[in-house]
Amino acid sequence: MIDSLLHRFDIDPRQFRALLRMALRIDFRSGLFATSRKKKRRGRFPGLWQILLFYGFLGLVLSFAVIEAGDVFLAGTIMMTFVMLAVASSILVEFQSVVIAPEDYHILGHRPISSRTYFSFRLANMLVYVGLIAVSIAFVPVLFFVFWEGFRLLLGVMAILGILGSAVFTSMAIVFVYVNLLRWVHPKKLQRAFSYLQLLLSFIVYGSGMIFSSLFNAGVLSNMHVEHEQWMLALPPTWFSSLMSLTVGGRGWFELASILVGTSITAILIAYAYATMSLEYAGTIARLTESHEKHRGNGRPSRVVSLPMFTRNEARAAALLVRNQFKHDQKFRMSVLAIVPLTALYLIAGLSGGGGLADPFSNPAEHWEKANLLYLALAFFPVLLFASLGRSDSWQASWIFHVTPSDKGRIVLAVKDVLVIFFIIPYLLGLGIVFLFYFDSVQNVLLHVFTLSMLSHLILQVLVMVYPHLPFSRPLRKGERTANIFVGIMVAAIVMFILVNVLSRVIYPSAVATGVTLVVLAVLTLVFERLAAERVRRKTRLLQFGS
Amino acid sequence: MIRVLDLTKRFDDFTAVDHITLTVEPGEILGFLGPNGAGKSTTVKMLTGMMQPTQGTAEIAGYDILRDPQEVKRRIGYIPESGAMYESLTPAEYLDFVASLYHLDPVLAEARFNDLLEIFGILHARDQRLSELSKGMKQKVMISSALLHGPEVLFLDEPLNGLDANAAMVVKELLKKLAAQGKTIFFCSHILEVVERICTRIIVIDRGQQIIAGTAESITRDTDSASFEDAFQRITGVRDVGEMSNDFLAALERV
Repeated sequence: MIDSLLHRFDIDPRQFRALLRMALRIDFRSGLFATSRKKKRRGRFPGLWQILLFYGFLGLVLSFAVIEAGDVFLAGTIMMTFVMLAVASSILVEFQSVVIAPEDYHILGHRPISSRTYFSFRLANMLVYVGLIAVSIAFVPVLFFVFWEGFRLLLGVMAILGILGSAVFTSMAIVFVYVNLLRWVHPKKLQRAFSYLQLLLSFIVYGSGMIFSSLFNAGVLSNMHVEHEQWMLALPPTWFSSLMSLTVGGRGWFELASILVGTSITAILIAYAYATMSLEYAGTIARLTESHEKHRGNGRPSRVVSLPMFTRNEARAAALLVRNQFKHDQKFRMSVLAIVPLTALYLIAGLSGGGGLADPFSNPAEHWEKANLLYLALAFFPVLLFASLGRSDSWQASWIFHVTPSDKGRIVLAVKDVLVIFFIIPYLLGLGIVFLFYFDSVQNVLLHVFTLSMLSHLILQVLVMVYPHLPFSRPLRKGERTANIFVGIMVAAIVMFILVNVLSRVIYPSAVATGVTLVVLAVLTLVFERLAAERVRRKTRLLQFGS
Repeated sequence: MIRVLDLTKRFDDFTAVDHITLTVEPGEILGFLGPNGAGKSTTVKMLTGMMQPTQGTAEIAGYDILRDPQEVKRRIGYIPESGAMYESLTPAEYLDFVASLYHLDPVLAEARFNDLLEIFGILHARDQRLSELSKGMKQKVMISSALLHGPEVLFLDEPLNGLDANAAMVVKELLKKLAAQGKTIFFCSHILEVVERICTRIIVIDRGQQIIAGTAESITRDTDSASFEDAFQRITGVRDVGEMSNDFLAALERV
């Protein structure tokens, strides 16, 4: 039956199955659900369970919002929003390659596969994962829906349908944006255009996430009652949460209109993909591969310019590598650009708190209360950057580190220093300028910024010691970046919570304690630098390619 | 059979392939030579349907590459220079996957690829991941994948890459026998000795243009060269290799 259905849509069933099976195999082995061969002997797909448990944990957190919410419609809307955000961020960070990376065109381009079959398989590959992500997030909340207030099986079924609908809608909407960009932008400019689109979409996704979490944090959910207004039909989560409302007596115009709008738009997106995108897809992918072949030398060789402060030996090599990978490696650039909006949004949120920032020396409690998001961004930005620097499609080129007489410890530390000089210090200088408007004196600003920079540097040093890796030396793994973002935020939040409390309650109130702290931080920095270098050297002796 | 007419590929103001016209008859092994960046791979990509020509067209096994690309792809086997394969798969899984794309009967395909792997002496590695195999072993899998569906026309871009001497001899002999069976073979390589030995005809291109065509002997004779190697050097305008190597050493000694 499935075969005849696929045939009807001009999709070759045998090729479709072979392609999908191959893609899932690869992802299970080297991608999202990767596991080593040793581990494989112990269990079939431990990686799969890890990732599902991770999203399941997020679902557990979400279920508190579900319980807190006043009615089923509101709870459902929260759940659908969360699923949509998770799916969208996962596609932005991990799966943009589904539509824009021509990497396997070199393997499949000369095979007799129609573009419709090719596009369908790539889409199906993506939908399998977003479906799994959505279901694992919604698993615990759905259990709450079914068992919390009596046994409501139909509500659970509708919730599952809703989350699957949300996942499909979100995926198709993002694919629609990407593929249309492929149609209208010249291939030569596409790589840059995708970077900007990534930035824009990341702002939208993370911005929505922040609005959602601020609502949750404000504790307004339990008192919130949602009146059905016409404008709410424009909110995609309500389309799918209305399915749930149907089972608890909500059968008014709003529910019916929402469901109609949601299913229609999703169907239109799918139909549009089928009618337009799939036929153009192979051609577009071919054009993308062509754009890679255009770059040929046609003039005098350009001079290699060193980055300031990184002018010699390993430091120069590391800095040039990071800069040029950012310039030319689309995936690395996009992974960095996915972090920037998150940081910027936290910065904006931190600064837009009512009443402005207080001086941490004269009014520490108020300052830390209002500025915690600023420091959260300060902590997770370098952590995530450091994590993205480890992996690359060109990881096999890292043999160069192992066959040259370079000091691998210096390379790893130089990468850390690149992050400090080009990312953390500019961020802190920006913060310093903002602080000038709120703090009592310039001296306080300087002292505070200096303390923060020492702390950030220490965080990076600890990271280097705990998790030393040569730049771009390990293969990319789907799913890892999204998980890194969530874990990075959580770890950063814990670290900053501890540091902020210690600083505000114990250290800043006393000038002596502040002075001693700065001296201790300086000593720790020196000691950690040596320890980190030594540990990196020891570890990198065993780090041959590291995969 | 391959018929190429006025095939051209431009990237903005750069012309990679410039009005190439050629014919390769069934049973022929055409050596397609040229220095790096001459346009060989771009030509092959257009002929295998991976890249659209800017101008001109080609007919492969009776089908036009622009009008019937799928029919062309069904009838060709291609070994790309990059050797790109899905490295997380095992040889058996990869070959089974390729067989499915050509709608081969799974039982027949398995028997066929097991035979091919055994002939190449890598049957023991059929269930190891490709990423764990040596370059030569991967190349053997790649060659097997190109031949599995019995293509009428073969496009081979450096097919001997990484092969050990014995396997290379087997492949060279195999190509001759395939040609004797009436297959059309388009052979790109930088190993002039191999091209000279197995190709029935040779075309040399440079900067996207066809420079000369003929047998190795006729090209050597027509260019008044002592050997085919000398002829190639002369045709493609390379400076004296002794002089070049001296310049190279001088560059390395710069202080």
